[in-house]
Amino acid sequence: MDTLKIIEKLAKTAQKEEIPQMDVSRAVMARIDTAQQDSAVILSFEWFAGISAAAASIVILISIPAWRYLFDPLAQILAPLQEVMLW
Amino acid sequence: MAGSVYKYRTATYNSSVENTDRDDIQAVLNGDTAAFERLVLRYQRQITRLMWRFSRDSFVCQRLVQDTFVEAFISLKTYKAKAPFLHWLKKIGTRTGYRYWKERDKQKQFLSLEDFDFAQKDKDRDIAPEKAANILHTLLDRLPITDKLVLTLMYFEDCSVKEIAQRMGWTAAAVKMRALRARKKIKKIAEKENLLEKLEWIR
Repeated sequence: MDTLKIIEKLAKTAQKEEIPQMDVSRAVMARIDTAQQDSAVILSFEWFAGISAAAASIVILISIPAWRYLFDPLAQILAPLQEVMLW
Repeated sequence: MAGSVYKYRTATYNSSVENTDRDDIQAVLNGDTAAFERLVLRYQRQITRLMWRFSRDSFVCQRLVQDTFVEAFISLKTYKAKAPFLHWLKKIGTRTGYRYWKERDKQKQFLSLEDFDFAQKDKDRDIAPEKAANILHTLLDRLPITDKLVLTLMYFEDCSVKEIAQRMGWTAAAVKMRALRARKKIKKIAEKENLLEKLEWIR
């Protein structure tokens, strides 16, 4: 008998092998539930992160001109002096 | 020959089961998660059978079956019902198993055929299915994983070239070429291990 023939014969016999029976339905459903809960948590985190990012970008937009003004010596010279009431 | 088997399988697919599948899938998509449990119960035996080809460790096999169903649940929206649900599940299962092999391949350990008892039992002229499967898996383990996948699906699942190509998203020509090369390699390995001498009592 040829080597490949004997391998094919082994394969035909191997197909009749008894496969262990296992019930995975509960485990699968539990994993799906966990995945759904996780995705809900992730979604709320995503919302929170999105809103925070939007708020932060507004603050940055407002603060950029103030930042420039603070560190520009020319602007400081030209800017009117603050008058302080002494009495 | 194998191609006709595929056609036959598709043709004889029970239409009532198909309708039940369709109802359950629709229910899952409408938010009824419990309907998916029915699909799991209906197909877990076939998927376990497939995943048993990827790992003969029952714990790992169980994990692979779970992975397959969880992935099916996640991507259920993409199921277009062009083929029976079981075919789609098997496609996911095959890819899950292939991924598992890829991960495991990094720490590859071979069993030797010397570990098997090849003696003829009880004057029987046929080898026990479990032993035959173990020997075949040991031989296939020596092949690169793509070759191993092609031959595993051909030998254990009776898959045609077309079916393997569909499951893996490869071209039929590539599968044909891989099968040819894989057969040559496995023949060489088997000859090196004197398989013919060891199993000459098989008829």
